[in-house]
Amino acid sequence: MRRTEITPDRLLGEVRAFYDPTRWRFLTVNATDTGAELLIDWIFVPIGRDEEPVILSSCVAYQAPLPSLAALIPASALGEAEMCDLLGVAFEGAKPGLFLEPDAPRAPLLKTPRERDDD
Amino acid sequence: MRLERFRKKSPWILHYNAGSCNGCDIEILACLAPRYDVERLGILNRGNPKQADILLVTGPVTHRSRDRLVELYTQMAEPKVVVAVGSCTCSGGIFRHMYHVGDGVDQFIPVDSYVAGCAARPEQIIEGVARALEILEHKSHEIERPFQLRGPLYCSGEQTIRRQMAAKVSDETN
Amino acid sequence: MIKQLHIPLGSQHAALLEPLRLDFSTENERIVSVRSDMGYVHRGVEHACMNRFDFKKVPFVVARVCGLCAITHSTAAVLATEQIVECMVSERAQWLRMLALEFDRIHSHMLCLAHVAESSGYEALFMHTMMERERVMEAQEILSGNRVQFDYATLGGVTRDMDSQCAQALLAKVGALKSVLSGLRDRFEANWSTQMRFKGVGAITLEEAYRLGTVGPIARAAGVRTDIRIESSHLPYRALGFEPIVALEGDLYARNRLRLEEIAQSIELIERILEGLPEGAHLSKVRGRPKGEAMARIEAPRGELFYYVRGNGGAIFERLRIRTPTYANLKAFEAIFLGQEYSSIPAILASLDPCMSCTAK
Ligand code: SF4
Repeated sequence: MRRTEITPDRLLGEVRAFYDPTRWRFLTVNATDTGAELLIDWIFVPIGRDEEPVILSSCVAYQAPLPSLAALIPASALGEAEMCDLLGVAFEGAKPGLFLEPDAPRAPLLKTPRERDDD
Repeated sequence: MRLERFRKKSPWILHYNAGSCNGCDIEILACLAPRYDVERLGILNRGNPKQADILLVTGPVTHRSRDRLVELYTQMAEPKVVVAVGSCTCSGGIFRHMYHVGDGVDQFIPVDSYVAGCAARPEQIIEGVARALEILEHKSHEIERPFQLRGPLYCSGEQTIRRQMAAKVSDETN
Repeated sequence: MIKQLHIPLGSQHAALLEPLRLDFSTENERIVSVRSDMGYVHRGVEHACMNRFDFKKVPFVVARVCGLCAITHSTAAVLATEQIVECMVSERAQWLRMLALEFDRIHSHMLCLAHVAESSGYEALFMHTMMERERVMEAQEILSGNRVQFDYATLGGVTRDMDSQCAQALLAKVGALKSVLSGLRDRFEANWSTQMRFKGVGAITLEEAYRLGTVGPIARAAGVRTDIRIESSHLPYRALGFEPIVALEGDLYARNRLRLEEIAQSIELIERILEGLPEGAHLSKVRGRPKGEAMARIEAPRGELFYYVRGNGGAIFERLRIRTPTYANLKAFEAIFLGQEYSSIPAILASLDPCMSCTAK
């Protein structure tokens, strides 16, 4: 897997520069808890060609605010909501509650699951 | 005329997927289709709890579907039987102890007939339903209630009403 | 003033196989907005694969994400894991995996077609399609020993080898299916009444299909030439001379036709696989533990299935991510529903072939 390191504030510009919906499909956004921080990958795959996917990635602190791609790529909203739900990633505009019920554990895929803030 | 005898001749089914993997659901569908054809036993699938005699449940009951399951169960008229189809429905199966499931349907509602197997075969499902029909014959009109919902009750938006309904039913039994 | 009506569909509904809740707002029977809730079947499979099950069991656990495309889930997990452990998979095992995948595609497409027929009021056509589908279920049982959830793909190969007797039986099954397929196509395509019902309903344009990132039959029916069988080289589909089928109209009718054509194509692929099946061991040893990261993509019956695995040398994965086809298509669902008559919603929904247990994991 070949990654291109970026910083979150450059994400929108980078995507705008190469993303052509008839040539690339936004696969998904993925977050991995590496133990110290979150590794976020935005994965794009070519349509109809067997080529390397483009992976933009960035290491961020837990709960660091991240920009949303939803304005550019509508399909990204769901992946962002899921990451927000399961790993507590703070994507712009994403709310928890896509999958988890109020009495389920918060951000279960983190290595040290977060305490539920009962408000 | 004995209604019990005739009820057995044409039981209607209500099917609810409480978080299964669809494996058992497509086998239920296969039962309704020509090869296994439960319609020859008078069994029809109607998606209406008020008309159904048999509740076929699949899935380990996820947190979000538990109150719907309880609500469907309470809406069914007496006498009624519940058939749990699939290993994960009986005990949680492969999903046991995952963070978003309750381990099996019998934690929530009384189950009359268990069908094991992952996925349960159509023959097994038909046998489970046939066993349930025998039980149905001897059931009275006494109201059966779901068990208490496990886990604390939270209120959020429109979901509150349902939860409280289910909670009230279980309070009466205690 | 036009009155707005709100109509909820689901989570339990006669036209739905699975719990999915859609809230429609309609004006004069036309849909003006949709909200969907698809988290009813969230169980937490990813979490369990990252905490409780070791990597050798993971292919069998993820098969329970979805019973319809169980084999695609386990195959994708296996293909991803095999990149980061030491193991040599024989050519034969890869071909057998393709065989199971194609059978799975046929049975899933037929189920979808049957469901479309039922939801649009053709009960007899539903029964007919389900009856023919049983042939595929039996073929799967011959191949793997079970009708659904057959846990065929495993690390290092497949769980069962196939002998020539079994191959003969499979050939007979697909041969029989081939002979009835034209009758089925007649009923779905050439019938005057089904044409009236399906043509122009639930359409999506090519631009929308691109913009919303659709995958699978929905995208192909709208004209997008995308099929992971040509976009990735994990499985040797190229050796079979595979070419994706593309339709143009993007409506319900085109989706039905595309599915029927794909069934015919899968039958052809199965015949080619059975003909040219290479010799070798069906299962080889797996050594070591997963270290590093890998991803695998595979064409499930509903479109692109994506697996990402990451191991740190332990027996349990550090991260497993599943992105399923319906998940990619959900945005397109909403676009397709807008402007449609409420009465065609069950049929459109069935033809989009949503798989909620895939989506919510
Ligand atoms: S018992 Fe197995 S096949 Fe049936 S619904 Fe549960 S996990 Fe799926």
